[in-house]
Amino acid sequence: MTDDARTVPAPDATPMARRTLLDLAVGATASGVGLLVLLPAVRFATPPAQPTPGARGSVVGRREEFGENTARVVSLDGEPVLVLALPGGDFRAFVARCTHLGCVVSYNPAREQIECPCHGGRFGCDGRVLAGPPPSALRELPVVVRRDEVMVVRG
Amino acid sequence: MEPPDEAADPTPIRALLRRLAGVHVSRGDGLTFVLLAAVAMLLMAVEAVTGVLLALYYRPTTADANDSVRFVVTEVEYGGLVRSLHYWGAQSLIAVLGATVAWAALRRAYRAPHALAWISGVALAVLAVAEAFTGSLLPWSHRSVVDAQLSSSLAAQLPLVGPLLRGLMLGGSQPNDLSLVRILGLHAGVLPMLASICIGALALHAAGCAPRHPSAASLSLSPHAALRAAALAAVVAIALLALSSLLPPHLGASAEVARASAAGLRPSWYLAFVHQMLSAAPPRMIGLPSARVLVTAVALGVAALALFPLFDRRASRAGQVAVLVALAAIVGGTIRALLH
Amino acid sequence: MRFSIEIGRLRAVLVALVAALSLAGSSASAQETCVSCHSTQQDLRLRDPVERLRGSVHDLAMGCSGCHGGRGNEPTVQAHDVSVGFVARPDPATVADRCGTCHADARFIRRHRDDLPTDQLALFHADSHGLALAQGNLAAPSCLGCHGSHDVRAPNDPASRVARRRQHETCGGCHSDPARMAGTRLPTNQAALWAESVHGRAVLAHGSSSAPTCAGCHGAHGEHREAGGAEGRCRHCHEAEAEAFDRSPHASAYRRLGFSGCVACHGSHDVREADGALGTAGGMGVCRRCHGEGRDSDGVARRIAAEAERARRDLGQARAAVQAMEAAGLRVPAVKTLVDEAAQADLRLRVAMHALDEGVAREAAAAVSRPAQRARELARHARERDANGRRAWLVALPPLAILAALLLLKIRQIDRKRG
Repeated sequence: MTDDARTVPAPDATPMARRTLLDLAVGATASGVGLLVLLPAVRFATPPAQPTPGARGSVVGRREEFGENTARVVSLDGEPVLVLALPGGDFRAFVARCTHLGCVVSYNPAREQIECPCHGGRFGCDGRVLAGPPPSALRELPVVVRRDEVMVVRG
Repeated sequence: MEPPDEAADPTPIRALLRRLAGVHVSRGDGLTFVLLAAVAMLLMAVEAVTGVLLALYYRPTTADANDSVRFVVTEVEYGGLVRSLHYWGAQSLIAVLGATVAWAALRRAYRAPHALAWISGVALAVLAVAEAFTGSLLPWSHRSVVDAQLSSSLAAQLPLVGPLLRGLMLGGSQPNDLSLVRILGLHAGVLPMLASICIGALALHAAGCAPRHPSAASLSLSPHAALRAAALAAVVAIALLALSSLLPPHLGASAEVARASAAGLRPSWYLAFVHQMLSAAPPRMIGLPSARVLVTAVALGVAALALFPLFDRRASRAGQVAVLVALAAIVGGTIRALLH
Repeated sequence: MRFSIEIGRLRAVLVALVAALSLAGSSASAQETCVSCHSTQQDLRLRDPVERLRGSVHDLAMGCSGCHGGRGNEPTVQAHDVSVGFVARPDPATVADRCGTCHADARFIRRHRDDLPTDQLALFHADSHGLALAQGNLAAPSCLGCHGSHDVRAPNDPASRVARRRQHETCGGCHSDPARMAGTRLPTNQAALWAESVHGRAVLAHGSSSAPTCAGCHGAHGEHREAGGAEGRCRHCHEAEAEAFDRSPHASAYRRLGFSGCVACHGSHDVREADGALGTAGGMGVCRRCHGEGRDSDGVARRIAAEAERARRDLGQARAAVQAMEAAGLRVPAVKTLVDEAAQADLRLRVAMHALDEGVAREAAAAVSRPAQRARELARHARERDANGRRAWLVALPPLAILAALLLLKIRQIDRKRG
């Protein structure tokens, strides 16, 4: 404004005031329209709350079908997958094959451990090895809960 | 208007506006071109922004492409609108650039020293058609596959470079995964890059040719012409938005290459005249397959249209008539094909 | 070392080559000499058989005397010696037996092929064609009538006269000819009806390898005569429908009235798709023959037809809705699953219709309608949501309009200032 006042001498006050108001209105509306474009663009760029496109999700059941601290083994594309309902209400899923020799593991709710029946391998609820011969943790698969449906995502 | 005093301007934008205030355009043709250029720039900006957004979710494989576009429309917020805007923006851009070329031909705006502007303008219009066409292939619908097959076979008809072009475009003899990556590369990389070269040439030309001396029949570029352009752009934006909101573009089902048949498909309106020529022609012309003759003729014709000022340096009436006849043939062919 | 191996290999190849050559020479010397004269004859009638035999299943190796008699090894005209059984044109009445000398001889046939039947001759003699020939009706075909004489080809060879796509022409060659059929009471339109039927179009237009051609129902050599009549042949492929029909009230009534179960409604050669033209209201014609207006059963027949029609309409509408949804660029996997489910249920409905029972039909139709209606609803919902999402952006129009108006004001203002 000070800049304007210095470079453009105002002949009288009224047109000056009117021009400034109109300029302000044009500027404000233009910025408003700009925001109107920008906000949806940002919303568009934000991926929707569901598994990444390209990955295939399989519904393994509804939330209420899983009791707390229980698990079930489901078959996805012929591969056994252990879906674990943790005591807090969270879900995790692991490929239910022991990393030792490939036996199908199961959940022991009493000890809150995943156990392999073959050679005594034991895994925690995060899939990490607690005891026994398995060389590495169970492979975890992402779980998405959407509209109360529990969905396991395969890459 | 007092001469610009750069030292007194602390901000770069203000300095630019002041310099532009010294640039004048004629009230007739000059203003018309500024307005047309402004609308084209708005549409290009819409295409660039929506194009970048759509690219965020696009997956260029034959198995996933169609599904990824559907994902955008169904699941992504504002997805349907962004795709619709991208589609209608492209259609409008072809129309606006085509109109600009026609207007330039009518006003003989290719005369020296405007030859470079004419060449760049025709090239931009051709690039807009190429963008719309490659864009229509990306969803990999039934129609895309047929178009990819057809257009690559047509490109292969060109003498010398034909088979090479087909191979470069498809990455094989039949549409496959590589084709989509290449088409995407063309659509989002090569063609926009060529277009920006043309835009740069036009800007340089404008900077070099615009008169700097005001007259009774001229307007300063800033703010007079610029404000008019902005007002027109706002009106065009309204029209585009309304169109995109109310008329979503069609999307064909995902296609299998082996089962793609052209039965029942209509060509896009901007290529309808080529299609019309191809289907109306006899099987052989001047002893060669007619497709080869016609495709070569169209390619040479477009090149001749673009480079025409170089051949017609004195800007004769006959030259103008030839250009106008060529443009009228394209428009007439398009209208006839659409009515057919 | 390496060199000697190469020598050894070379010798083995040479030995094999010599052996092959001598074998070929021996078979050539054993071959009959008929071909050497007949292949160079000026008269086409004498040359043609050789050319046709070449490339047939029998090929030249079979020789000529097996069918024509005579002296096959005699390189002069003396080969045609009637006293050793030479015959230029074998008698049609005995041709079958001539073919049978090899084809009914299981031991001989097994030496060459293990997939050829050997009961054709016996079947043929008991079949109407064979019986007619035996009664002296020389218009009836022997083996040659269908298979050709010298150019016999395997039935799965597309060029064969009895190939699936050509059978109706071969059979129709006689059966569509009113002159040839004059002495019988047989119709002459079967081949034409079949070609237009659902079976004929499946074979001719879509290359189906399972839809029946003439022999599929009638048998080639008469093998299907004892298999339960027309109904038995339909049952061969349409088992589920036939079983549903057996449980229907019609099964016993038809038996009593002497109707053939399937043919009574569907026809025989002119079987059509069982859609609007038959079971539904548009095709009440079939049902109406018995369930005409004013009879007690009219209402039931109408209601059953209406159930099927409603289900079919629901499925059609669901498919159209899905198509419209997909054309708009939308994708809802659940909708596709539901339509698939409805389409499966429609297949079951088509079977269930054969029970011709109102309750069964209603239940089967509901199994189609339920997922179809749900799919339609979901598709409509998706389209509405999409349209609303796009329309929501129309709120941007007023600000844009205000901006345009303000800019026009501004233009007027500076224009006025400039004078």
